[in-house]
Amino acid sequence: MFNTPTRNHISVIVERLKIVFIVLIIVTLNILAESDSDIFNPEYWRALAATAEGVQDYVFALSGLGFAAVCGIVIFISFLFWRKTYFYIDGSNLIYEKRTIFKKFSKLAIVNISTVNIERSVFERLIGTSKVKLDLNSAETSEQTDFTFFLKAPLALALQAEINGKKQGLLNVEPSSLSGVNNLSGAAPATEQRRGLISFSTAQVIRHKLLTLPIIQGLVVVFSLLTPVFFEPDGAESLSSLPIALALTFGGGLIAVIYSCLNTLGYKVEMDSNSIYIDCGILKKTSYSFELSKINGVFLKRPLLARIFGLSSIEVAVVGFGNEKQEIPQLCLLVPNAKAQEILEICASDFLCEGVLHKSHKSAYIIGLIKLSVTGVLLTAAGVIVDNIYLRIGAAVVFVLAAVSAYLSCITKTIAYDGRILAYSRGIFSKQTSMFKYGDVQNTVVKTNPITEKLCSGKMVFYILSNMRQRLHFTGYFDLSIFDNIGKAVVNAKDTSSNK
Amino acid sequence: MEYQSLSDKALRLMKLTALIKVALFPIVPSIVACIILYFNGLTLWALLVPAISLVAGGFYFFVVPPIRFRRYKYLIAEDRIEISEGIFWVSKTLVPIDRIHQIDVIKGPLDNIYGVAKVNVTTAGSSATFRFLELKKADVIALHLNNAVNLAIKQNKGAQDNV
Repeated sequence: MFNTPTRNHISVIVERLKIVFIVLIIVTLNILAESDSDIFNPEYWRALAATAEGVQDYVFALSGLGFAAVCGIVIFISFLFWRKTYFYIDGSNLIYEKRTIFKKFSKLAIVNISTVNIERSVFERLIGTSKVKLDLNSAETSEQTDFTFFLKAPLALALQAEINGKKQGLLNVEPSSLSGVNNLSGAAPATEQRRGLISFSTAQVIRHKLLTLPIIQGLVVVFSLLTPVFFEPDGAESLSSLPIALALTFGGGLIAVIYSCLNTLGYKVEMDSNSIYIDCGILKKTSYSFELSKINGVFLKRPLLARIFGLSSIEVAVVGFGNEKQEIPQLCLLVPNAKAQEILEICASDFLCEGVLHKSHKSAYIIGLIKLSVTGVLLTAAGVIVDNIYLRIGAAVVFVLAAVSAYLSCITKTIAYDGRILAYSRGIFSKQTSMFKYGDVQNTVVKTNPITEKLCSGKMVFYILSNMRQRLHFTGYFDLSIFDNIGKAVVNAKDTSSNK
Repeated sequence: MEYQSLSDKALRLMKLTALIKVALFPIVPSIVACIILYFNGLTLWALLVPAISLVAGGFYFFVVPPIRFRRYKYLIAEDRIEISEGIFWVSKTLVPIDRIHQIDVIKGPLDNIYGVAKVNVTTAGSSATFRFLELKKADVIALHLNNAVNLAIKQNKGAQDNV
């Protein structure tokens, strides 16, 4: 079916025109931001209307012409893109050819295509098209989709089926064991009956969103808004614009939470013997799936507020699952710890570590103490130089917080390992336990300094094949013998990431 | 298997790079000194800032390259490569041979002056670099690693076929 060159659907032109409107919105918001204190004042809008009335007709005409010209250029470039971009399947390869000003010819071995996604936005549902997104198993492009095609919905499904069929033939494997098929349209090519693993009510989704709010970042924003009140000579005047700034901050935060809730409502996780299927969202409907064998990292997360209620959530790192939106698959949202453990045993039992838990080495406390001393000296210097009571109180508070966090940072870091799995924990406010198979670890770096070297300890950095957010991992300070053992285990384990 | 050290060419290149860095050292302190001179005239700080930068530059040039040279070691074993480097903070990188995807030999302008090269080894997740290698040595290492990687891939494939 795709043996001859196939073009994108013509709606690709409209999709690309979106950029113009996004730029227009950003420019408008910037102009409004410059008059942030006036936008709630009716006089501002009256004055704006009066200015507009006073403007000569030719200015309007020129502005309109300019905008039309920009739209025209984008439409022309998009038309060229649509007209001169093809793809086709040639034997065991997918050929992608772009003959626009920036020419591109790509020959992709079908066996190297990691995931084939189908995504449908509201606009695409209206006009009956879909986006087919191809991801390669490449660390270089792990943060973006490698190739996107705009096709009619049935054609998109046919392309997905053909690529998977070809790949199946080339690898000579069962269809269900094909590499992760992230079917965002919800049409999973599963042949086996799925069974429900867990689903979340509206209340549970809202609870998850509220308990995973970034409290510390929020406090930093509020404090930064309050800073002028304390330090500026006209601090009292700053108070007049403070309610608006706070209202905008909290309003923005609230809208973000509501939007996020709408995109997570109806969160449902299903599985069969090979794959996990996740569906969620009302506003933006998302459903994706990935193979169990493609999981190369499991993260048990316990944010501060969730810990108070004894709740945890589970995230996973999946080979080939990386896009511009930095979406990370979650095996489950916040659930009671026992339930999270149960889900972990069902979905990722091979990631459970049975090794002994090692606590931070004493060198971690010494390093923490040195850092704290430096912080103390700098804060004292600031307090001596600047004659401001609020700054001195602030410096004292920062020092106490630094001391507490240095201590907590040491006691919360642990590491455990057995013959198959390496697991480490970190995080003061948001605690996270990360689990990996040795075969998925790409390389390790053990870092020491003169103090830790003398005490036979160090810290380890290691990498896995994943998107940017989940690729790099670093432990606390532990005995060097632990890292020697882990290093040996990594070397002896067969590479299980690149072959997935 | 024993760790290997670098040749004298490496030390010379390290000294050259340290000299370039030292030459760049006084730029920021000089700007700071100029600002102090402009606003406060000739004060103790206006003299101290460039003086400290000169002492720090001298310390860096005479102390850092020999330590860096002494601490730089690498090991190429059948199943892994190890690179140990650093001055005060030492990093020991370990890459299993079967994780290597790509091997590049890189020569920069300074490398060309001293006839040395870098061998960059890329895995699916990150990369590691052998620095300051003599040209012949770099080629031998790249070839050896290439053969070792191919062998590892063949062995893996054989093991999979048997399964």
